[in-house]
Amino acid sequence: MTDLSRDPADERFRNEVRAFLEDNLPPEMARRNRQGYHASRSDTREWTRILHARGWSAPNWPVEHGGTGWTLAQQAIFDEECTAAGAPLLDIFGLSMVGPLIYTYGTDDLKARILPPFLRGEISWAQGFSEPNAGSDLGSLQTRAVLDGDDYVINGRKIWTSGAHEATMIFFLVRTGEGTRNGLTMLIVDARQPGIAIRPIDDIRKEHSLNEVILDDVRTPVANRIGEEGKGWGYAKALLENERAFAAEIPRNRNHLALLRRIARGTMRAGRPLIEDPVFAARIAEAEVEFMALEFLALRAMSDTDGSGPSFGSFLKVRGSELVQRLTQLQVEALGDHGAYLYSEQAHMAGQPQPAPGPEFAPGVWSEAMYRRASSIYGGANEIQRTLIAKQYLDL
Amino acid sequence: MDFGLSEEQVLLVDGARRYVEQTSDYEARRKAVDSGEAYGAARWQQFAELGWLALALPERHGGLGGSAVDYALLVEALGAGLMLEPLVPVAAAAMALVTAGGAGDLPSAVAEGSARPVLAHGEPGSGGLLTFVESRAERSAAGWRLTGAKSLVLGGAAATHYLVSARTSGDKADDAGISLFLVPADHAALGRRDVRLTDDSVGAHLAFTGLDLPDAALLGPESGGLPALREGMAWLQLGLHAEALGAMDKALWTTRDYVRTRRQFGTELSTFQAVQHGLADMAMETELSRSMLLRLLSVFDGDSAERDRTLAAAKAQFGRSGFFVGAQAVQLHGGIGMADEYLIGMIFKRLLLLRNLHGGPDMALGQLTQD
Ligand SMILES: Cc1cc2nc3c(=O)[nH]c(=O)nc-3n(C[C@H](O)[C@H](O)[C@H](O)COP(=O)(O)OP(=O)(O)OC[C@H]3O[C@@H](n4cnc5c(N)ncnc54)[C@H](O)[C@@H]3O)c2cc1C
Repeated sequence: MTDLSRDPADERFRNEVRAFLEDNLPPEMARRNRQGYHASRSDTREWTRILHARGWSAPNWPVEHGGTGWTLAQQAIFDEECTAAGAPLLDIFGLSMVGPLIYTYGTDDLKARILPPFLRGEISWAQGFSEPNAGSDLGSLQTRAVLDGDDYVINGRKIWTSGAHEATMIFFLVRTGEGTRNGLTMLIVDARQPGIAIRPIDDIRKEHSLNEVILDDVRTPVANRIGEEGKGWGYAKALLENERAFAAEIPRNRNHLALLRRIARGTMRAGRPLIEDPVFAARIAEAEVEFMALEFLALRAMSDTDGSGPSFGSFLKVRGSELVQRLTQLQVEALGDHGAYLYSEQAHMAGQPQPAPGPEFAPGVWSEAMYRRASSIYGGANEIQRTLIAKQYLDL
Repeated sequence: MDFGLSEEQVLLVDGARRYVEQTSDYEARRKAVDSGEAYGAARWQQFAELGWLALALPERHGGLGGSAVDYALLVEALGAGLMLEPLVPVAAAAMALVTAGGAGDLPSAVAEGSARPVLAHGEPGSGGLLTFVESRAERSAAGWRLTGAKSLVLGGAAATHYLVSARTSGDKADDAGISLFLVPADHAALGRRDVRLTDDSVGAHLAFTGLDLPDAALLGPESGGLPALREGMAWLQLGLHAEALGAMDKALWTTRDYVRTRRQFGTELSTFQAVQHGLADMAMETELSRSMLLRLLSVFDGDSAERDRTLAAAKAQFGRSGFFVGAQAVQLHGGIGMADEYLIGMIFKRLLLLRNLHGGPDMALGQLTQD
């Protein structure tokens, strides 16, 4: 802990990112994505293309695989500035989950076929892990892949598959043998083929993000396997650990804190701005304290690159998800009556008038608060994370 | 004190529960929402026939003269079905009308099911402060001219009349100077926007830009409308808490049943201690809320400082507990709790909406710290 100060070079980098965003982020795209609604796949792809032209479409990847090679501090600054400017979220499934698995464990052929088009914004991913009877107990999944010549033939049922209806590729965790540790395999599958049936599931916001995916004799070449057969569980765990570190949601939480303040300044309650109400102001302060500590916990976790320190993934997942829930709930509360009006995502995206009156910052707030209830469920529910902390950190 | 139910109350509660079981499952509610109607007209007629719309109204107004306790028991039972009909907003407005006087036969028409007045009191900037009224009414040749806006009018899309608070004197947060006006929902100059709410019910947002009303539209004394308004808002809050309680109870037992059957790691979720403790917390919050509601009922009759204080306490209690119970129910369901086609997410949305009404729990806490 010899140096806790910030690097002045990082501030120069921040200015560079800002200037880039000013010149390259289309204003209409920023308008669509500043409001709490999820980015459309087309915005994500378009933005990926724009970033790719500058060599920035994989901020968290090493240079040799087409990434930026940025330091963790630089990545954090980039995320922060992009979120604040209203840039659409990049394809996290590809960037933080399957991409790193491919460049770490994949064959050269797989890398060459998948990574470059992904970096150009030509592939959209979905993650097919959970099944109706295998959620928290992922290791008991039953979707089965059987080798037939040069192909795997897959049969089974996945559920809660986010974005499967818009994905071009899905990475599945499937059963190829008995047990968990040696019985699971990770396969990449072309999402658009006859054996795959996708049933939409409207989520709590009444938006279509979730799906049930039914696999009926779906074929994928052996060349689309990530790493070795039977080693899928280990890869999945590495990937989920990545998902958890991301789950501290530092840029998102920072942005939500700023939005909360903006709403509290712009909403009148009994004749004065809500931010002047001491009870509510204390709620904001409480959340900010939590954020300040969490941000440094995330920095500690990220800078521990050789894994010599304690594993903070579960800490970040639990407290990051609880904070994003708290902040978005406070935003809804701060909106007052407008927090009870149902605004339309479609109208927002199309730039059309809303079906309910309200300030410009109102649409999207409730929707985001509802969706974030899932942040303590997906990627390993918080109950499971607390048990992991008891095991890993406390050695119980 | 006797916390047991009378024979009549047992019948009332059983009847309402049976009605909910037979007619109000979540699938039926979704269909009703998809139909686009603001409320179920046929159901409303059934409510009238069952005597529910007349329950708490005094007999001289065509009511059954039931107590606030009877009313809360009925609404709690209906709350389990997340009813879309504005029974509570209409009952509250009817009680305000009775207190204010001067509305002729309107309360009896409520009891019969033919009229549905609702309170239009809260304004975009009032944040739940009862005396905060910026809408104004001025004398005009015809009678009165109304200017201002009312937001989040519960039951507003199904209403036949609005009971509108407006200033006839004084400054925006003064106690004195508030008058009540009866505005028919089909008034040609009324700016009304029906708004779908986050629990799929339909409310309204009203705008008055020089709306002309006859003299007789003024209910009760000029600039002395606060007591009737206070009575109406007290009944509104009582009813909303009772609805919340019904929803919390439903969430608790639905979740209990779910974890008994859902299996992970080779056993029922109910065998995991973390799950048991999560449900135990839900149970405690629900029973504390029920107790707070009973405490409120113990001081409910008549306008008093004690009632106001307990109303604020109940608002804070229900806000915290309702949100906790709803969120925990979603959490313990896992993915299915996040699906629109399943009841639990809707219970959570309803409880969140109720929590944040009228300035939310923080407004109530602020009030309590000032006393
Ligand atoms: C919005 C959303 C998006 C998702 N996106 C994807 C996706 O893209 N791809 C994908 O594969 N999956 C996805 N999921 C699925 C997600 O990973 C699962 O929902 C999650 O793993 C929980 O599984 P489950 O839903 O079956 O709940 P269950 O496992 O049935 O759990 C229900 C409750 O029981 C608790 N519980 C379970 N076991 C224990 C235990 N041993 N001790 C204590 N408590 C326990 C849980 O914590 C939870 O509260 C998504 C889910 C949601 C809600």
